[in-house]
Amino acid sequence: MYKKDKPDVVPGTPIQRVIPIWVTLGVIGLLGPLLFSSYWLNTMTSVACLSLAASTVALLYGQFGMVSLAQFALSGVGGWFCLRLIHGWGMPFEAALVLGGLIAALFGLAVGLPAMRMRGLYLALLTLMVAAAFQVVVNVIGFPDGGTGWAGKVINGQRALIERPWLATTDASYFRYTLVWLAAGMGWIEWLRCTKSGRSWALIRKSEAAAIAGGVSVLRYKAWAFAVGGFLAGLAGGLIAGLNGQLDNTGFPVSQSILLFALVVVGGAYNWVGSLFAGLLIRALPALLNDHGVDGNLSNVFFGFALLVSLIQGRKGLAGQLADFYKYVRTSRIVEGSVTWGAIAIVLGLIFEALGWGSFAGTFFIALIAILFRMVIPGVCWLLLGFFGKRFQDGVEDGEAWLSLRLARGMQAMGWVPDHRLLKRTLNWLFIGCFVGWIAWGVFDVPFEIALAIIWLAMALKVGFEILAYPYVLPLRKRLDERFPKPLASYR
Amino acid sequence: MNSLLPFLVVGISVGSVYALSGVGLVVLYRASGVVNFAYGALGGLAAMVCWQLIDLEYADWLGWVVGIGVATLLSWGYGRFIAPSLTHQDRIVRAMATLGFALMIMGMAQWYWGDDPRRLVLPTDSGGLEVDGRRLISYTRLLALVLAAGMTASMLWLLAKTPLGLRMRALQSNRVLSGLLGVRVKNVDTWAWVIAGVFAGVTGLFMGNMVRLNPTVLTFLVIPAMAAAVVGRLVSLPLTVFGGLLIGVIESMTALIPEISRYGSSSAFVVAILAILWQQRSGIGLSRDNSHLE
Amino acid sequence: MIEISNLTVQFGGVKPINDLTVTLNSRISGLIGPNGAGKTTLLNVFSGFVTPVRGSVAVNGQMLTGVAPHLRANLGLRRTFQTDQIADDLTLFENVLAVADHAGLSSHDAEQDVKAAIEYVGLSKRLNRRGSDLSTEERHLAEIAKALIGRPILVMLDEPGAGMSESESQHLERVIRGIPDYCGAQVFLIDHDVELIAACCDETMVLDFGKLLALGPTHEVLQDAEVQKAYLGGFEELGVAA
Repeated sequence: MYKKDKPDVVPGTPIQRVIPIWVTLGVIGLLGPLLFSSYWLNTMTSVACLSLAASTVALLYGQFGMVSLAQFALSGVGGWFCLRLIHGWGMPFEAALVLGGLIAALFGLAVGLPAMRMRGLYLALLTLMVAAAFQVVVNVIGFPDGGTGWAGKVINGQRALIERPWLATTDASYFRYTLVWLAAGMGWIEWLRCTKSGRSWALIRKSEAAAIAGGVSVLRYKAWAFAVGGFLAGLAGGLIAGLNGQLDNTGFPVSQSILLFALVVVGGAYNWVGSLFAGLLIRALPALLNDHGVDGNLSNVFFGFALLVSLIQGRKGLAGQLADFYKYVRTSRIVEGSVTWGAIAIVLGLIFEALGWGSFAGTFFIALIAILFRMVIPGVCWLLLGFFGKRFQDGVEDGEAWLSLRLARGMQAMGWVPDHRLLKRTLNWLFIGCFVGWIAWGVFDVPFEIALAIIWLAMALKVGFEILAYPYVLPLRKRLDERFPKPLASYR
Repeated sequence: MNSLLPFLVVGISVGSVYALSGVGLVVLYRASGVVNFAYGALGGLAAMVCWQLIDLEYADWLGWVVGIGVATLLSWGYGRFIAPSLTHQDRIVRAMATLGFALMIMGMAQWYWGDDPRRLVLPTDSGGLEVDGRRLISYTRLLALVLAAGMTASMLWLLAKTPLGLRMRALQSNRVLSGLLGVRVKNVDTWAWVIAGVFAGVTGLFMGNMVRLNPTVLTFLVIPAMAAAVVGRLVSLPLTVFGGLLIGVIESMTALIPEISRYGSSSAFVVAILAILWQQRSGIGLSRDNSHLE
Repeated sequence: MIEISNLTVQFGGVKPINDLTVTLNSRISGLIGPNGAGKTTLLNVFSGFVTPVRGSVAVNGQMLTGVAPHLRANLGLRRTFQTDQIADDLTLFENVLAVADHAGLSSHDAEQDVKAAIEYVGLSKRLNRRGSDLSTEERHLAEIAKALIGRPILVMLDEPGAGMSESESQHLERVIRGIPDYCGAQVFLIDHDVELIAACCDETMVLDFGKLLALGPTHEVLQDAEVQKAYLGGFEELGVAA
C-alpha cells in the first residue's frame, strides 16, 4: 500500500518558488561587496556567470536527462556576438547582451534540433564534438576587440575593451548587476518548471510516447528547452565579457564545458541551489586553493572523485542531498531560528561597532555565516560521510550521540547537570567557530581571534537567552508550531 | 601527387593511432556498454610513466611495459571495483562516471609532472622507410600503422572466433539475458576493461610520441578517438578503423589549403558531427519492443 | 464509432495486423487475444506511433491517417499505456494538469476539469501526493483520469487492471463502466482479464495473430467455440458467468 509517512506536497504558486532565489541572491548581493576583497569580488562575479551557465546544463539534464556538453561553448558564442555588436555597432551593453543571448539560442537550436531524436549518449557525443570544434574555431578567429573585418579582430595595435554598463561600472556594482541577471535567469527557469512548460517537460522525461498521446508536441517542448538553455548560456557569456572587457581565445575550452557538466551533477541538477554550488566549485574552489598555495590540478582530482561518488549515490548532487537531509525539519523551527539568530547577529554587530572591534556589516555577516554553517555543517558532514557509505554515516551519527550522552552523564556524576543536547551543540559550535574563523581569515582577511570571538559570543548569547527567557519563549514557540506545522519539505 | 604524399603518410599514421584508440573504445563499449572517457587519461598516464622511467635511466622496454601495465592495471581496477556499482544505471551515467575517473587521473598526472615540455622518444623514431633517398615514413609511424592493423585484426578474431568474444557479443546483445544464461558477466566485463587498458596504454605511448607529452593534452585526445568510434557507430570495428584513418588524413590534408589550415585540428569533430547527423537521419519511430519512441 | 478498414501493419517479415476490417459501435468495446496478437500494435496505429502499410482507421468519421501523433489528442483520442506513465516528481494534480494544459481550456476550466476527473476515479484524497509516492492501483487510476480530460471522443485503455487485487478490480470496473456517462466518450478496452471484459464491455472483438477471430456481444463471443479453443482454453474452468 501507499507509504503513510510521506507528506503530501503543497506545490506552491510559481512566485512562491521563485522568491527564495531572489531573496538569497539579494542578500548575497547586498552583503558581498562589503566583505569581499576586490579580487574575490571579481571571482564571485565570475561564479555568478558560471552559475547561470550551469543552470542551463541543469535544465537540460534535470528536466530531460539530456547531457549537453556544449553549453559553455554557447556561452562563448553569446560572448562573441555581444562583443561584436558593441565594437561594431556601438550598441548599449544590455541590448548586445540580450541579442548575443538570442543568437546563442539559435545556435543552441541548431545543435539541438537534430539531436531531438537521439538517445542520450549520442546527444552527449554530438555536443561534445560541437564544443571541441568551437574551441578550435574560436582559437583561430579570436574574440572581437575593436578591429575591422567580419571577425572584428585587431591584428596589430591596441586591443579595445568594452565598457561596463553605465549602471555598473565599479566591481561592486557589476557584481550586483550580474546577480540581477542571474536571479532573473534562474527565476525564469524555476518559473517555467512549475508551470505548463515544466509539466510538459516532466511528461516527456517520463515517456515521450505518453507525452505525445497526451497532446504534447515533443519537438516543440524540447526545442523550447534548448532555446531557453542557449539564451541564458549566451547571456552568461556576455556577462563574462563585460567583467573583463574582453574574452580570451582560450577562455572556452571543451574541458570547461565538460567540467561544468560534471560539477552540475555534483552540485545537483534538480535544484537551483545546485547550480550555485556548481558555479562555486568550478571557479571559487580553485581560486581558494590557489590562495593557500595548493595546486589547482588537485581540484580536478577532487571534482573527479566527487562526480564518481555523486553518480554512484544516485545523482541528486549536493543540493539534493542537503534538501533530503533537511526535508523533515519543521518550518516553525526554521522561522524561530531565523528570527532569534537574526536578532543576535544584529545585536552583536551593533556592539562590535560601538566598541570599535569591527564594522557592523562585517560582524553581522560573520555571525550569519556561522549560523548558516551551524545549520548546514551537520548536513555537509553527513554528505561527506556518505562518500564512505550509508553504514558509516549512521555509525558516526550514533557515535556522536553516544559520545555526548556519555559526556553529559559524566558531568552529571561530577555534580553539574548540563543537558546532553546542550553539550552536543556546544561541541558543534567550538568546531564551527574554528572552521568559520579559518574561512573568514582566508577569504575576508578578518583576524582569526575576532572571528572566533564573534561566533562564540553569538552562541553564548543564544544559550543565555534560551535559559533566561525560556518561560516566555515556550508559549511563543507553541504558537509558531500551530502556524507552521508542516515540515519544510511540504512547501516545495 | 608527390607533394601530397608526405601529408598522406602523416595522415595515415596519425589516423592509425586514432583508429587504434577508436577500436579500444568500441571493444569496451560493445562488451560493457560504457563509453570510456578515461581512455585518453589512461594513455596519458602510460606515456608519462614511461617517460619517467626512461628519464630515470631505466631500459626503454621497461618503460613501455610498465607504462602500458599501469594503464591496464588502473583500467582493470575501475572495471572490477567501480563499474559494478553502476551497472544498473543508464549508459549516460556510466559514461559520465568514467569522466570522473579521467579527471582524477588527469589531475594527479598534471599535478605530479606539470607542464614542462617533454618528449617521449621511441627508438623507432630515428629510422624510417626511404624512397629515392628521402624519408617517407619513420619506423614509429610505420609501427603505428602495423599495430593498428594487427590489433584490430586480433580483436576481430577474438570477437568472432573465441569463447570470450562470443560471451562479449552476448553481453552486448542483452546483458541481463546473458547473465541468466550463465555468462559470467563480471568476468567478461573485467576482460573487456583489461583489453581497453592495453589499447589505451599503447595508443598513449604513440600519442605521447607523435602529438605532445602532456597529461591534459593526452587526456583530451580521447575526443578524436571517440570521433573515430562514432564513425563506426560505436559497434563496427572496420568502420572505426576507416573513421580513424579518414580523420587522420583529413586533418593532415587541411594543411594544404591555406584558408582552412588553421582549423585543421577540428577535422575529427566535424567528421564526427557529420557522421552522427547522417546516422540519425531517419525520423522518429517506435522502438522494436514497442515501448518507446526513438 | 471506430472504423478499421483493411488495416495491415508490417514489421519486417511479421504482420502483427493482417487485413483487419472491423466497426465498433457500442459504448464500451473490448479487445482480447493472446500475447503478440497485435492488440497494442492496434492501439499504436490509433495513436500514430505505427504507420500501416495498407488500410486506415477512423473515429466518428474522422480519418486518422496522416494526422500527426501529438495532434490526435486534439481530435479527442485518449489512451493509456501498459506501464504507467506518471511523472515521479509531479504531484497527481500536476500530472493530470499536464494533459489539461494541452486541451485548449482556460486555466480555471482546466483546474476544474482535472479535479473532476481525479474525483471521478476516486483519488481526491491523493490530489497533492507526489507521483513516486502513489501505489500501483493509484497510478493506473491516475492514467485513466488523464484520459478523461478535455472532451474525449475515444478513450483507449491498454490493460488498465494489471496487477490489481480483487477489490481494486471492482472499483476499476465501476470507473470504466461509467466513462461514457461521465464524458460521453466511447471506450475501447484491451485486457487479459476476461472478468473485466465481461463486466464492462457490450461487444468484444478477438484478435488472433493479426486476424479477426470473432466479433459480437461479449457473452456470445466468450462462449464461441473458436475463441475458446484459441484463447480461453476451456470456458468452464474460468467460472465466468455467461
